[in-house]
Amino acid sequence: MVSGPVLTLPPPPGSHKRSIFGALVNRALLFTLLALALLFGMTVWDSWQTTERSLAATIDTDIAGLADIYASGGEQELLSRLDDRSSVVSLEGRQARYMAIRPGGTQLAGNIKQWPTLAASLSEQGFVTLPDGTPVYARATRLAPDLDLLVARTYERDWNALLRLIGMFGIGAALIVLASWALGRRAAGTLRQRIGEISKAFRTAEDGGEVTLPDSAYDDEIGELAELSTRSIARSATLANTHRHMSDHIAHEIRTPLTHLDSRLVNAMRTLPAECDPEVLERCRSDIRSVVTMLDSLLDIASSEARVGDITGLTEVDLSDLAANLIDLYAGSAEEEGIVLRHYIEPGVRLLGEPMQLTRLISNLLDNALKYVPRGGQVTLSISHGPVIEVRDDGPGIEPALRPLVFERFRTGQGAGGKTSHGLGLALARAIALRHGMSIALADKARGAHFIIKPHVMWERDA
Amino acid sequence: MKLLYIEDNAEAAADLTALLARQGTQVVWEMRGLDGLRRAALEPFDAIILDRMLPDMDGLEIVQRLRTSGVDAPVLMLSALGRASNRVEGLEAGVDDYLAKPYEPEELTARLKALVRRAEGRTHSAIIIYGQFECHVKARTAFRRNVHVPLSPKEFELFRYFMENAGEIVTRDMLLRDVWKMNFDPQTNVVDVNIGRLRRKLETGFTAPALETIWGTGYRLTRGE
Repeated sequence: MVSGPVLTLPPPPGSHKRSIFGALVNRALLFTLLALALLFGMTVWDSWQTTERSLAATIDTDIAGLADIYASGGEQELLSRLDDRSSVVSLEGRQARYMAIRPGGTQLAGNIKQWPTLAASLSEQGFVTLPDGTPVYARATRLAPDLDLLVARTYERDWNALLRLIGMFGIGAALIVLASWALGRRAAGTLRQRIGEISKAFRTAEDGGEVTLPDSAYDDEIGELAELSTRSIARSATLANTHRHMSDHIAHEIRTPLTHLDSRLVNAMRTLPAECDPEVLERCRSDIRSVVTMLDSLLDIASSEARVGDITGLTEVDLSDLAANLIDLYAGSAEEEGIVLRHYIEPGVRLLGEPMQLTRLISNLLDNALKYVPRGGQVTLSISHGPVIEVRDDGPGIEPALRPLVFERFRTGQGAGGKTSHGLGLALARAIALRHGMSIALADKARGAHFIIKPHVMWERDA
Repeated sequence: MKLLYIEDNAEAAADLTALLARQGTQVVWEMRGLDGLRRAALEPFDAIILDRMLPDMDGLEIVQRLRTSGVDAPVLMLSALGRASNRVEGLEAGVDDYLAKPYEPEELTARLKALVRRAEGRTHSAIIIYGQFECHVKARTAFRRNVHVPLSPKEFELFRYFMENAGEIVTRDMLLRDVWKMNFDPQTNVVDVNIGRLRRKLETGFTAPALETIWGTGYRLTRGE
């Protein structure tokens, strides 16, 4: 089975539901946001960990010094030093806070009024809030069996520094995201426009216009695609024009001398003496017409085959109306021949095509059937959605040896009554079907012939 | 009738000029497309016969330039390009009729007459009467000598077409194009068969023929008398 594209009209320009470039920008933006959030989390966490380690180290150093004072100077010396140190504020802005108590709860010294929930026996440390509402980092320790010591540092400036870091990071991240979005949108717009130029060129070519792609001047991947597209479109146009001109010239150069010959025959018949029979001259004229008809059919086949997949000049055709009109034309012929012409036409069967070519396709199949089906026979035309066109008859059918060749040029069968033809009708039917994105096949049938035409995809589905 | 004929082939031009001259038609021949355009702009013609493949200009371009320059004489394109697609191209470009070479002389004259009639704007009344025949256009009924002739819808279309061209030759191509809207000739005798059926209905009960067959060309409605 020959395959080809299903013919459909292209969507209007810019009617895409999705844009690959828009999606790429959105994905890049989402990735940037996630990356910034992760970086933000890690930075804040690490910064706070550093602050905590710094506070713990300061407090531990202070406790070590106080332990030395207690060991060397005794309890009174220690308590005195605690009072001295209570007013000290370090360079980092951390204020020292102390509390010395008896394990029973009696406060001995310090600027903290109430022991927080830290166990001195376990030497616990951590962030706590003092009764006056001040947040501090503190460690509780037992210097002696009768003396518990709490050393703390405020960390307001550290906290404020962290908040500033968070603020600056947030603003920076927002600016980065905004810039990424703007740059991404701009890049996507440029890419969309450049790809749009290529699509526009193909649309122009389909409408038969001349194509130039300025984008091919760019030395990048899209530039390469544009250049290849320009070359491909130009080559297709050249081939189509050459084919068309060649066909026209062949027709012109063959028909012109035949026209002269025909005119001379007409003049000869006009001046023929009355006793002469003009039949020979009439037969010559009939032969001229036969050659012309054959030439036109061959050129039509070549033209249809050359335009497979090309939607230029195609319009939406109501196949049901077209078939009904043909039934109207052929009904009389069938009745005169004593043949029953049946038709099953589903309403509203439409396709993209050339009305005249589709008329000729069905007409050729009906001609073929009426030519070979004997008196008393039956011919059926069916049109159904798909679209599927079927012409079947109960005539003599096609000889098994001829069946694989039936759609080739100059293949003729000998039907009832010895009617013959050029053998181009079915070849043209096949070429027209292919031009419309469909295939034609001769179905296996015990009696008669059964031609089926339907889109390639339907054949593939059936296979 | 005065016609302009634009054709680069001298032999073809001589044949056609002689043919039309025998019928009393004056033919002005121009060999080049540009000269034909100038002549059409300078003189009034009843119709223009135009070759399609001219050495200096394409016939389709000539038609378009004629129309844009205000020349409204009907144009019959007479071309060696005779495929259905060529005819469609010609009609879409603005020609009024398209005839392929080689042609039947009677067919050419029939088509020219039909073109000129159409261009003169002869309108038909609701009832067309010719000889014994009557065509009631709105009621879609046919009569011969006041006897109703029952016709199918398509047979009535055929009868009406003959009545609108009463007394003139109507070719198979004209019938295919105007009644069945087809630009190609089917390989079987479907037109002849349909005409035959119409003929039988029009002649049933009468001795005089209703339709005259012009061999190789077409048909002509008689007065039925």
